[in-house]
Amino acid sequence: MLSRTADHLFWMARYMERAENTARMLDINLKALLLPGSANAEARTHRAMLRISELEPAFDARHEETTSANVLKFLVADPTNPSSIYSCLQAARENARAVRGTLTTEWWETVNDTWLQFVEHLRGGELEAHPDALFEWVKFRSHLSRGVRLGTALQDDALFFTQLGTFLERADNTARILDVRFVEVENADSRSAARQLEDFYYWTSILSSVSALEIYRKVYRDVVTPARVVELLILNQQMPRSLLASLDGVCTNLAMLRTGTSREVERTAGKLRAELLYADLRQIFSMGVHTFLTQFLARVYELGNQVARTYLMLPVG
Amino acid sequence: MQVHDEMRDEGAVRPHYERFQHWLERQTGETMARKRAEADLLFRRVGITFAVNGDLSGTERLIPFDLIPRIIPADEWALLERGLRQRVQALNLFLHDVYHDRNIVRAGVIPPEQVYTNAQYRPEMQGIDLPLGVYAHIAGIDIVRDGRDGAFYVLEDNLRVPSGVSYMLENRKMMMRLFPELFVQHKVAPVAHYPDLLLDTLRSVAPDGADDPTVVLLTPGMYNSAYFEHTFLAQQMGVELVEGKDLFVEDNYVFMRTTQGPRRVDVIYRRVDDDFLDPLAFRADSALGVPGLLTAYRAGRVVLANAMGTGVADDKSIYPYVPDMINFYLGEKPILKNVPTWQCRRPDDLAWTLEHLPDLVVKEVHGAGGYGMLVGPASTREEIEAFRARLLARPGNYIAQPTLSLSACPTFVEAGIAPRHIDLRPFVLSGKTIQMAAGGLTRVALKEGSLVVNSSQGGGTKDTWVLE
Amino acid sequence: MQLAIRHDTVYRYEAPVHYSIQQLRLSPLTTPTQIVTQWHVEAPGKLDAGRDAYGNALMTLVLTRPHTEIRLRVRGEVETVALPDGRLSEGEGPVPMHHFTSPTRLTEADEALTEFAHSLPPLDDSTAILHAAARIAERVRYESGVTDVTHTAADALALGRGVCQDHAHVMLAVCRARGVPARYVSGYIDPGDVPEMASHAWVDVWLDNGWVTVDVTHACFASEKYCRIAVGRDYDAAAPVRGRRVGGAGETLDVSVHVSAQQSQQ
Repeated sequence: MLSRTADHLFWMARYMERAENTARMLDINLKALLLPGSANAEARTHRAMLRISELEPAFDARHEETTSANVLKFLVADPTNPSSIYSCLQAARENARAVRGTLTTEWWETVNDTWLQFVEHLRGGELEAHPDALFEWVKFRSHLSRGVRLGTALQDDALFFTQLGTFLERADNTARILDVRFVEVENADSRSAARQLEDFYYWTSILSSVSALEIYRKVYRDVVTPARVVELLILNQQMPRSLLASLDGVCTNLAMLRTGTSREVERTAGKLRAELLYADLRQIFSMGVHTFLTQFLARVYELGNQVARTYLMLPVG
Repeated sequence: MQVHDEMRDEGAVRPHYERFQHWLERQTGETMARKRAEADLLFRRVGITFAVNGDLSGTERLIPFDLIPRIIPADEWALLERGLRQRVQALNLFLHDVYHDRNIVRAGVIPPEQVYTNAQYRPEMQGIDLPLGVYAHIAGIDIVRDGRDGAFYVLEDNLRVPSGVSYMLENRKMMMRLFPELFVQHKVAPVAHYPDLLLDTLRSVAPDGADDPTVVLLTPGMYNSAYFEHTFLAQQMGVELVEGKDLFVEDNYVFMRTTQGPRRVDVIYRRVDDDFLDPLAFRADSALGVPGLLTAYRAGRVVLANAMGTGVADDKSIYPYVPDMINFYLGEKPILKNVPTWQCRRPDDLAWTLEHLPDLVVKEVHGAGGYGMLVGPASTREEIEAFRARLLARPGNYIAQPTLSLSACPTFVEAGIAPRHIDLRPFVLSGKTIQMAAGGLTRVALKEGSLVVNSSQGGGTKDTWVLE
Repeated sequence: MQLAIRHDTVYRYEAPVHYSIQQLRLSPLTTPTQIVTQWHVEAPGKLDAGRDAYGNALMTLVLTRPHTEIRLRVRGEVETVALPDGRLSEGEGPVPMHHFTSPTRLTEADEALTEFAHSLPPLDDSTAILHAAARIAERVRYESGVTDVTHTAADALALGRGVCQDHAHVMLAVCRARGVPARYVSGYIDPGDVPEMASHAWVDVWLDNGWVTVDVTHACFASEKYCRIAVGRDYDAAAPVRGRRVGGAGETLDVSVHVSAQQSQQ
């Protein structure tokens, strides 16, 4: 297919996934803000939310004060923030529109309707009134998109590029969601850090954000510990949103898209996946989870560039 | 003014409309209203919409489709077809001559300035040989029928990027879906094979040595008003729909950027204007073209359909010479008549035009789509005087023609069914042979008495039936 | 006269360019009055050679591997013969001369230009043409740095200052306003003590069934000291390098031209 078509499908999927994960991330942090804690803790949470998507400078340029309302507005509804849920859903829709002929009618209508309805929700003040309901809605629409896609699309390159985008973005976003907490841990003093690490609510909220709370119970049948959370969310192959499962998805779809020039990108993805498959939990903790995740993010970013170079449009400008 | 009514001759229904008229009488107003609503819904779902004049607000309009077909008896079409063949053949010979030996200019039939100072003349094409010598692979010839003699006249030739064929095809599909019984009662010549004829034509003009030629359709993109047609035709022909950025030139060949690597392109059915085709050769600000395309084209490594520079033959200042072309190149008399035309760059013609402004239609030589023209009989004194001033300021910019009373066809309107003016645009394909689907696109002016059929100014379309 | 030309062009880019295509009009053609004894164009890739619409030698360079600079190096020598009254021995050329009466964006005459054009005596002999050139050189004082390649003839006349390119465009606008075919010429000249003039532009005017070539800046015939490279309707059509790229971000351009002339050995 045309590189440009694949490019649109790839990015449509990435933006949709990004919107969903932003909603997940905001949801857990919103719940954390509802817990009793110091103003300091609240500020740290805000900052962390902005930092994981590397949006602190952009936010500071727009807003003088860091309040919950401002942060939410920036991350959900601000069109000037290219990673806001608004911008992501819009970008997903614009990419879909550009290749409308390649999508099934239901698939296009789902993406289009998601965007149109989201705008309506914002207009209706849902963000201020019921932010948690809004985030649930975004997650649900993303599920719907994937369902419609799998249920109606022909199993050809169009589908594989779309799935590739989804998994690549999921790997990146999940690493970032995890990293919020570990960044805080690194930056806090050792006493409060130790206390935080024991915080039950703290870990269960992370698990909930990636829909893994029940899964944890099923897998471990025991108390929630940081080591096990990391193991589940980074290394567990059966856990659909884990980093390893995401890399599995990337490798599978790359194999379906194999061409004469894709050896290199397949190798890069394969290596990253193998490292996760055979990783040693103790090594990750001794390196520092934050360090591990930072390196992982850099490699996923580079993998994305390689995918673009191999199949998609060259950067313009 | 006398108007030829396609259905009736002094009250009596013409033979080729009899069966339809019987059928129509048996339909209730409700049924027809319901069918119209169904058609609207279906057209909207498929996405046959039209963005007017670069309207980017995202609101897309439907071009109104009228359920009453325009019916042409077999013998009339036979005449039209012969005339179209003759005309398009002469036009292609003219184009070849303009860009090679200039015989028609040397013979004094057409002044050289008319051709070589024409804004549409492309020096880049001078001396270039094209496969089969064809320039206008796809020609949309606009035809009207005048009330005074009931004869067919060619209103305009469209040899650059003629559009509208997708409406012709979708209208027929719609009619067959809504009223299958009509197609049992009438033997209507099919049109659905047009995309096959088009693909066949495009493949037949591929560069030498291209065994299984790769054909693509080059579109300016989704903000172009005819985008639906681009996607439709590409899909019907089974060819890739590309934009400028999907193509690049290397080794003087044109390649497509695909996920499997670069793929060579042999024939480009281009729906992008000449000026925007190559930012290295023409408008440097164009993002729609392919840098280096012109060089590859001149080297014969890729074929463009239609060729570059065809505009020099469909311009209103060249239109008066088409009958001369038919005579000069084919030694024949024109089967289809030209509308009498006064060229205001000529002092005598200008004087006559100024004297008769209220009776004439005066058009800009380089205008399009019905804008910038005067329809004398439909204008106020102030409008006529204002136009007179413009005409005197740049007489060479205008041609004048008598007001034709376009033929009328019964059409569904607010009050029921009433006659509305129509024209016809058949699409003539030239490759190894000249081919066309019977009929073409019938456009109808929906406003009572209006002669303006352009969709951008409120016109609609009908299905065109050529009876076998 | 023997002219030796050195012309170096370097494009540098901030980021890697993934694809670039350049069309070069850097090579002269041999004619009865200009014989190319040596000419070499060095480029970082394969050059596809051909002719453009106006018969100029055209080379196309396509680079598909990432690159951050493009170096073009031209070295050559031509032998020129004096032209009688500036008259070229070649005929009309591949394009009918009427085409050269059509104005272009760069040579469209506005009111001021039209007035100026009609204030001149009819352009029906060489004297009149040289006279027109002198008047233009007066009206548009030679000064570099005021105009660039996007300025039109009308702009230059209004500014009253410009370089040889502007002189050429004004002359073209004047000729075309009077219905006289005229074309732009780009090439080299022995610059004497104005080194930036080595790259030069002048004009061919259609007179008595042939082309007369005129250096507007110096109000003389463009004979002997001139090396003709390309002709066209204006600068855009005859530009030495015209290209497009994908990637690269910011671009800088460095050009150096060196021309030296000496009398031919008899």
